[in-house]
Parts: sequence; C-alpha cells; structure tokens
Amino acid sequence: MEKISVIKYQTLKKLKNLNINCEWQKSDTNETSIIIVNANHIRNIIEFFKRESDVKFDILLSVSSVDFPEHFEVSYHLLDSVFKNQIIIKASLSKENPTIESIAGIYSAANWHERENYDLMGIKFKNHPNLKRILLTDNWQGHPLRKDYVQDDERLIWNQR
Amino acid sequence: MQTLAKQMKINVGPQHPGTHGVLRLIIELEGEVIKNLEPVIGYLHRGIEKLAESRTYYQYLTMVDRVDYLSSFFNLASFCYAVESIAKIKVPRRAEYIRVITMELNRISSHLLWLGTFLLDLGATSPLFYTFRDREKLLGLFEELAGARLLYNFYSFGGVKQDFPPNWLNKVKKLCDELPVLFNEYEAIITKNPIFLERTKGIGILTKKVALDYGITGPNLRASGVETDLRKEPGYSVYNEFSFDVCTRQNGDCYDRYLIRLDEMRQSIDIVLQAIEKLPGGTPDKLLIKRPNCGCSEENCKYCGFDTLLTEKKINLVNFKPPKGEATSLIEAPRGITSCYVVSDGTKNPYRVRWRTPSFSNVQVLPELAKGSLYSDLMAIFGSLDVVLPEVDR
Repeated sequence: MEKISVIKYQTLKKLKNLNINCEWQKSDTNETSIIIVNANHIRNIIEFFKRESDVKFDILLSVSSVDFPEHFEVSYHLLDSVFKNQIIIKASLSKENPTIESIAGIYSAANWHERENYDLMGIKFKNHPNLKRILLTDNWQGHPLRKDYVQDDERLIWNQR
Repeated sequence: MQTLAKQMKINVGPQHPGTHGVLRLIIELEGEVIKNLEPVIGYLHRGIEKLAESRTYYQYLTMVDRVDYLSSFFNLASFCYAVESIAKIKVPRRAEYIRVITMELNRISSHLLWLGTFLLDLGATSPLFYTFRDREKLLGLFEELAGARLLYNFYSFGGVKQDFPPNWLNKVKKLCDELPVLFNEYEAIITKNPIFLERTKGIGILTKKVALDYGITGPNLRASGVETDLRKEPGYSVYNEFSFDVCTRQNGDCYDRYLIRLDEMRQSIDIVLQAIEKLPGGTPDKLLIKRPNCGCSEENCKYCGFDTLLTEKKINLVNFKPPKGEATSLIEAPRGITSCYVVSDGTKNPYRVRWRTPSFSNVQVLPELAKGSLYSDLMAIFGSLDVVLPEVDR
C-alpha cells in the first residue's frame, strides 16, 4: 500500500515546477493529508491530482464549504480508488466576494456538489455549466448555511401568526 | 405513425411509486426513447446540516438517523467516528464489535428492502413478500436491541448505549444460519428468470470511467469492476480482524448490480458470524467509555482499556465539548461511502456538519445512464442504483 506521505516529497517538487505554492498539513486525527492552496490555483491543482500526480485521485467525494468569521473555506475531498488515500484540498475565500473557479470540467461529480454549495452557502463558481439552486426553490432568499442567515423569514407561513 | 417520432416532454413524479421517495424527473422523449433527462431534487430537504448548528452534540445525535432511514446504524457510526476522532475518544473493543455486528445486519436489511422494491419496480410482486418476510426477522431483532425498528439511535460517542439483551446473539446466530438458505430461494426464482434477465441484462451499463467520474461508490462502483471497499482497505473500526471478500463484477449493468448485492449479503453474514465468534467478553456497564483516551494503544490500559475498573466520571451529556478541530469519517454504507465532515470550534454545538451521501451521486449519474434507453427501462435503471431520496436531499 502506497501511503501519501511517501510520495509527498515528489508531489511537492512537481507542484513547485508548476509554480503552485501550497502548504501541506497532516491532520492529527487520522491519516488524511490536508493541502492548503491559493484559491486562484484550484483548477490547476485539482487537475494535477487527478491526472499527473503519482497517486491518481480519481474520485471526488465531496465539495464542502465552511463559513468562518473571517473567511469562507472551500474544501475538496478526493479519494483514489487504488490505494484508498484520502486528501483534502482547501482554499479560503474572502467574505465580500466568495468566488472560485468551477472544477465541473474535471470531475462531473463536482457539478451538483458545487450547485449545492452555491445554494446553501452562496459560494459562486466561475464557469459552472448550470449554476442555480438545487435543494431549495429558485425564489428562495439568502443562503441558509451562512452564519448571518435570518431564520425567521417573513415569507414563511409559520412566522406570520 | 408520424406523431410517435415527435419530441415530447413529460414529467415523472414528484409522487411516483417508482421513485422511492419524492423525486421529479423531466424527460424528453422521442417516441419511446429517452433523449434527455433532468432530475429535480430537494423535495425532502430538511436542512439537517443547518439543524446541527443550533443543537448540542447529543441533541443532534438523535437526528442523525434521519439522514438515511434504511441504514441508521451507518449514519450514526459516521457521525460518531468523526466526533470521536476530534475528541480523541477511544471506543472499547466490545463496543466496536457490537457496532460491526449491528452495521452488517443493517446492511442485510437494507439490501433486502432494495431487492424487494427493485423487483416490484420491474413488475414482479411476489419477491417483495419474500424479502419483507426475512427483513421482518431482522427488524424484530433490532427492536429487541434498540427499542425501535428503523431509527435506532443506538450508538453514542465512545461506544454504544447498551449491551446485547440476553439470548440475542443466539437468535442472530440462528438467523444467520437460516438466511443463506433463503437467499438461495430468491436466486431460484430470480437469477435465472428469463423475464428478469430480459429486463436487466445489458440495461443501464455504467462503465468504470463514468462511475469514477461521477463519484459513484459502493456496490454500484464494484459492479463496474473497481475494487473499492473501505472495510477492507484502509479498514476502519475492527474490520481488519475479519476475513471477507470484496465482491466485484465486470459488466456494470442492472443484472450485475443485482448479483453484487446478493453476494454482499452473504459476505455480511460471514462477518457477523466471525464477529460473534471473536466477541470480547465483559460486563454491560463498561460498554460506554467513561474517560477520553489517554493516548496509548495498549490493550489493557489502566484508563482507556475496557476490562479494567474505570474510576473517572462519565462524559457529561449536557456539557460535552470536543476540542477545536475537524475530522472526516468515511464509512462504507449499503449504498456507498457515507462521509461526515465535522468542524468543532470548542463549544457545545458543532460549528459545521457536512454530510456526503452516496445517493446524491447515484441520482446525478441517472441522465448519463438513461439517455438513449427506452422509457420502460428507466425504472429498472433507477431501481438498480438503490437510491434513497431522503439521503439525497438531507
């Protein structure tokens, strides 16, 4: 079994050749590696991990986002189907304009996951083929998973009593 | 017949007996051939991720069952493992064994329900009665164990809520001896049935490339020839201690997805029997760990070990605060990889909980499979993917 820590050095070297800076963390809880990258490079780095790295991460498990007080954080959970390594790639976005490049062209699975993140968290994905709400209705206002979301919306019937 | 060749847009659902929940499909037909298909989801959205933020960990634990009502134990395990790895709680070995036994039995009950309803979708009524007859026995056992038939709420952070009731394991053993015979019964009426073969063989072929691209996991991926089973490798919980095969098939059509689930049920029975054989002993009152792990990995540690006298206080249910941190758990659920991503900020409430559910991907791949096939095959394809809609919408 090829562990990701073994190939870490070579991966970092290759990434450096591509002019991509990243920070490599080892999560203290389990075997997963966390890679923190600049949001501008996200397409290149995901492309790299899918096609060029020594361990090819061919399954995109999920795209998720967290609303931290100072910034938004988008994380991509990747799994490789041969050695079962898992990595998490994280990028932080500004509060004012949470926009990131879509990776729906690299993984088809990202299409719906990104729509869900747009719907619930309000992250905008550039160049997404069909960026509209997926779980909530089209005329919903606000993004519920944000911390500043107002729960007692006047339009909801149980708030009109 | 000029009119039949015309393009036609029709609506299936949201309430439709074949959709196992509330799913709407917008289908563009040309004659009987599906040209385009668009699933519309979200009718069962309950905001289960948002609800976590206003509740304490123990309050939220009861809601976790509802993510997928057919495999409650897996959702509970997913959330518990994530929180345990943040709080660095070690689960006693016997509790891990109890988790494995209950999870594998749950896998069988989930697959049995799938089998019955899948054949019902194809128009065969009688298999439903066979599978429900046997699923009833499993649900009876769960009821005796946890007090509920579907939403068990049986696991807790650091263990399980109680030990097996007296004589429960004997009943499980007896059932495990009975079930393979009953599976043979299904095989006798289904596997070689010419109508069933006609409806499923070569229908809805999911190639390896498409499956990986869409993030399909679980039996659907293994039916396409990819050997990915997280129980085997990397192996969470105590699965490394059992010997079982990862079942794979090569064609990736509806028929293979049927066969692979039958194989998996047999493997699950194997695992349950092995787990009962190896079950570590102990008294019921020591099943819930009373102190977070001291950090060692020894078997008989003074503090975190299971068969020693634990003198520390119990985890305070009201004031349980895991430290700052985040964790992801990956669980091989009946439908694929269920993953729970928990971010803790050191307070009583989780800061963010994210559910990654396998059915979400399974619905997403449906247009890819259904394009170009006949309308009458749509329900066979959709049924064979084993989608549970509450899990899609969360």
